[in-house]
Amino acid sequence: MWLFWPLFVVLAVWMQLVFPGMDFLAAGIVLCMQQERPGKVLLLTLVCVVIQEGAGPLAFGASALRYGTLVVFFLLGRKLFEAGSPAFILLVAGFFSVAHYLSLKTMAGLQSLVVLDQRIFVDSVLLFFVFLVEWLVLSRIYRMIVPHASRS
Amino acid sequence: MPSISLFPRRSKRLIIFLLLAVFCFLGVYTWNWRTGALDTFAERSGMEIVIWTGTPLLWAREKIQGVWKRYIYLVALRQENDRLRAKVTDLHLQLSRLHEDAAEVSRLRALHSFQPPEEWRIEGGRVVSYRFGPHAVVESMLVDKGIAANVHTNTPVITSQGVVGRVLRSSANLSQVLMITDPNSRISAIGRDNRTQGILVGQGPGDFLHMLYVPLNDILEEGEVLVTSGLDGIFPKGLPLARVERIIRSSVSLFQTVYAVPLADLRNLEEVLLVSNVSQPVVE
Repeated sequence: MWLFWPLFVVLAVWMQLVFPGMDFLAAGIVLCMQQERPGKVLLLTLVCVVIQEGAGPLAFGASALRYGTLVVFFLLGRKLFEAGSPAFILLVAGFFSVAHYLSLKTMAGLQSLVVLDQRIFVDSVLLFFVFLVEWLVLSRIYRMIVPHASRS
Repeated sequence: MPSISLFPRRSKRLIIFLLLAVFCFLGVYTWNWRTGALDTFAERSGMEIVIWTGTPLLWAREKIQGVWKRYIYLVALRQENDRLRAKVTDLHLQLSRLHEDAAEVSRLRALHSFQPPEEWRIEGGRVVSYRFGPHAVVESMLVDKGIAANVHTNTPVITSQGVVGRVLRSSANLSQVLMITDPNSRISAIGRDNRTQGILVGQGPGDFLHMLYVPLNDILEEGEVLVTSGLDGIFPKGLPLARVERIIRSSVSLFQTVYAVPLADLRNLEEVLLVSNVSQPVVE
């Protein structure tokens, strides 16, 4: 069981090596928040931040901002919605893709980088679908591996 | 009588928490901008995690490609092809240098002394990935050579056809390369035949490169090859960059509008060459 999250990180990195511009770690953070203790969530988020910051061209801060807003949005949304409901995950995915677009524009602007708007927009839209599909697949695998896992 | 508040207490706490979070984030961001401490930590550790976790995938990909190319796709022909490709790469590089040397000789024949050409050390590297991760807002790729192979920030990256880009950041075993097609890439360029100088700027993938600041009266021809001028202190002089595709001379501008296409095929790269300048300063 303890191998699930290290394996997830390895597979997510592999997917990112194959699919340019995509984030395969965010869905895992959300699943971790639904199923695991805060300590494990913090550790996984830190590893994800280090990977994305280290291998990306932007100065440190972009993934801290993206994953930070994702965690805050999830914690606030959990007070209003059922954390495992499809509608809530749809909302989280939508929020995350908007946050992705805005945070990258902001961070690139702070570094005076010239970025192609259309590319970030397309990546954000793709991210929405990748996030949803990956969360669905991950949560199924998690439930298969951990029979007593919560459905919420 | 109960007091009426605009915000309930819980909302107040939430707003204060969010303001504190934004304040902390901006503080850390500014501190890192000044010192670069977190950037250094992240690129050294994050890139190493990527290369170590990605190694099995890259190994498997290489093996599968190797099996296909060497055993299924005609063994002898492939080996012959590999040998000839290596030879062509070598000859391309020699030719590129000879072109520059020949041009330099004709210009400097009258002079008594001139600087000898710089010594280049070339290291081969394999392309690991294009635009890795969600932060890839620039045209970039990862190459499996890093500080351990003497690859540092601004190391030029080329193929036998032309310049690919320069290293943006590197860890021990991995480097991130900014490609010349990215709008943030600016390279000092010069026409190989007419020696007209300008700055070559990317416009995005699949788009023309623009050569900026070429005065209207300077001579530049369509089809002319642009090479690095060496004035930027990053690229060695004489590396082939792009071919001039179209020139527009407008009456309302002081400069020509020059469109060029990169000589290197940037979409299907598997291997690249990393160029280090190992020339020693002249001791008098």
